[in-house]
This record gives sequence, C-alpha cells and structure tokens, in this order.
Amino acid sequence: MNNRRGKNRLIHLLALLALPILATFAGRTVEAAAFRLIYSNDNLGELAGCG
Amino acid sequence: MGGLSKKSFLIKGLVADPKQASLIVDSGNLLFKTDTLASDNPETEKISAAGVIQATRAMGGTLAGVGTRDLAAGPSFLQQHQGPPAFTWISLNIVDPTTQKPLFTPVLRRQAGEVKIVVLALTDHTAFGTKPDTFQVLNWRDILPDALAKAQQDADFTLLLSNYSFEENKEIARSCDAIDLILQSGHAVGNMTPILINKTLISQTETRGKYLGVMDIDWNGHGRWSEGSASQQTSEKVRQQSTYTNRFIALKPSIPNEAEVEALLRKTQEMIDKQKGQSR
Repeated sequence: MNNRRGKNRLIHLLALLALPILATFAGRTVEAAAFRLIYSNDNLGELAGCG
Repeated sequence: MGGLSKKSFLIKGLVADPKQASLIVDSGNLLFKTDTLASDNPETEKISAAGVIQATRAMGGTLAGVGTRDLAAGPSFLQQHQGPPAFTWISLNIVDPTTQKPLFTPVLRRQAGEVKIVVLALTDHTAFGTKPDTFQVLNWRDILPDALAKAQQDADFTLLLSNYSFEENKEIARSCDAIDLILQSGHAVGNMTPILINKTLISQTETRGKYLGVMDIDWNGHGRWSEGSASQQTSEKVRQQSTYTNRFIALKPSIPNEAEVEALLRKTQEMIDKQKGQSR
C-alpha cells in the first residue's frame, strides 16, 4: 500500500518537473534566429540607374 | 556604367560576413520599362534584359517574382533565362490557359541560417487590358489561401513577393494571417518604410534601381512584429516578439563599381550598340 503511494508521488513529482521543461521547448522551434533580407523591385531594365 | 555594378558592390559588402545569414530578393518588374516591347527595336530590349538577369545572378540573386512588365517579351523569354536552382522566376498565379498548370515555379523554399523561408509570388491579374494568348493570370483570391496552407508546412517564415497594389496587398495581409512579409513591386511611389497590417509587414523600394532595401530580422516565430533590434528590447514581452530594422541605401554615384558586373554590363552595352547598328 505504502509502496504504491510512494510510486504515485514519484510520478507526480516527475510530471511536475517535466512540464516546465516541455513548455519551454514547445515554443522554441526557432528562437530569435537572425537573418538579413536584401531586397529591391521595379528595376525596369535599368543597367545604370543611380540614386 | 553604374547602377547594377554599384548595387553589386553594396551587396557583396552586405553578405561578406559569413556569420550573417542573408537572402537576396527581387520582388518583380526587373527587366522591362513597359508591359510591351518597343516596336522599333525589340531585340535591344531583350539583350538588355538578358544582361540584367546575368548581372543579378552575378551579384548573388537567385530568385525574382514575375511582375507584369517582366512579361513584355512573353513567358517563354523568362523561361529561357532561368536555370533553377541557380536562378528561379516565381509566380503562383500565372498558368497555362489550357491546362491551368503554373508556367513558373509557384513556391520556392530557401534557408537563411536557421530559418526555413518559403517564398511565394503573385502577378497582378488586373493589369492586363487585353487577355493574353499564351498565359492566364488568376485572381489571388482563388489560389493563395490553399497555396499558403500547403506552403506553410515545414516553413518558419513566409515571404510573399507581390506585384499587386498596396491596397490589394493590405487586403491580402488582412485575409491571410500566415504571411510574415510582403515585398511589393509594380506600384512604387518611392521607398516605403515597412508598414504592419494585421501580422504582415509590407515594404518596397523606389523604382529604377535607385535604392536597395536591407531588412535585418531577429525571427522569434510567426505572429508578432516589433521594430528595433532584439538587443534593444528591454521587456520580456517584447523580447519574445520578432524584431526588424530596415534601411534604404541610395546607389549614389560615389559608390564604386563592382568589377565582375561592370564587365558584364559593358559587354551587354556593346551587344546593344551592335544590334542598333545592324537595324539601321
């Protein structure tokens, strides 16, 4: 009887410890990954246009 | 020659740091001034357009959205001047009128550092006064939602290259939550500082290659944008958002010409001069 109660407590304790860890990793597929987009549009065939 | 060779000089500086992941994007109307070729000497315009594509590839460009003006020489001209994966023309809504199958790559996937980017492009279906024979341009409303649902799978960041007007792009942003960034072409009224509509940023540069847009992004997942670099953010709530800083760099005459592209442009100009001489 006592043994079973001890096992249940251990499972609850492990679950409590695991939840925050799982929650942390669930939202972190990509975390603040840095990249640069270099973009332009409407060149309209210009070979030599300048600002 | 200036222009593209100065753009190339700037780009090579911007991508020089191997730790900085980057993607070079052209959102459309790269090749021609008008929707149809000049009747007096269309060959010179095609030579010039081929030179623009070569120069774009030489400076590291690997993709471009198809704008209405890119179709001045017909879809076949673009198909001849691409070679995926080295360079890809993208359009989701230009289809074969008979089979309804896309004439260009509809969706393209790219990796920038850790971020999986999916790139879609739309061509403005309202811009064609007379119905073209060789292709059909579908309304985005009929094709974009389903394409986005599929494209989003296994992607961190969704980029739409749109040839539609700002008003139309606002409607796209309001009705399609999944798009993170729209880069416009075809309706430019100068550089447009990024504007947030719903969950989507919309931006564009001035026309005729006068400016280059540079957007540095700290990507923290789809949904929330905040202006400023991640290191500038103080509160925990803001740190969880994706952040961006944007600038437009003028291609001033004082910027040096990059040698490889400069040589390509000189060769293109020689071919144009020769063609003009032959047609006289």
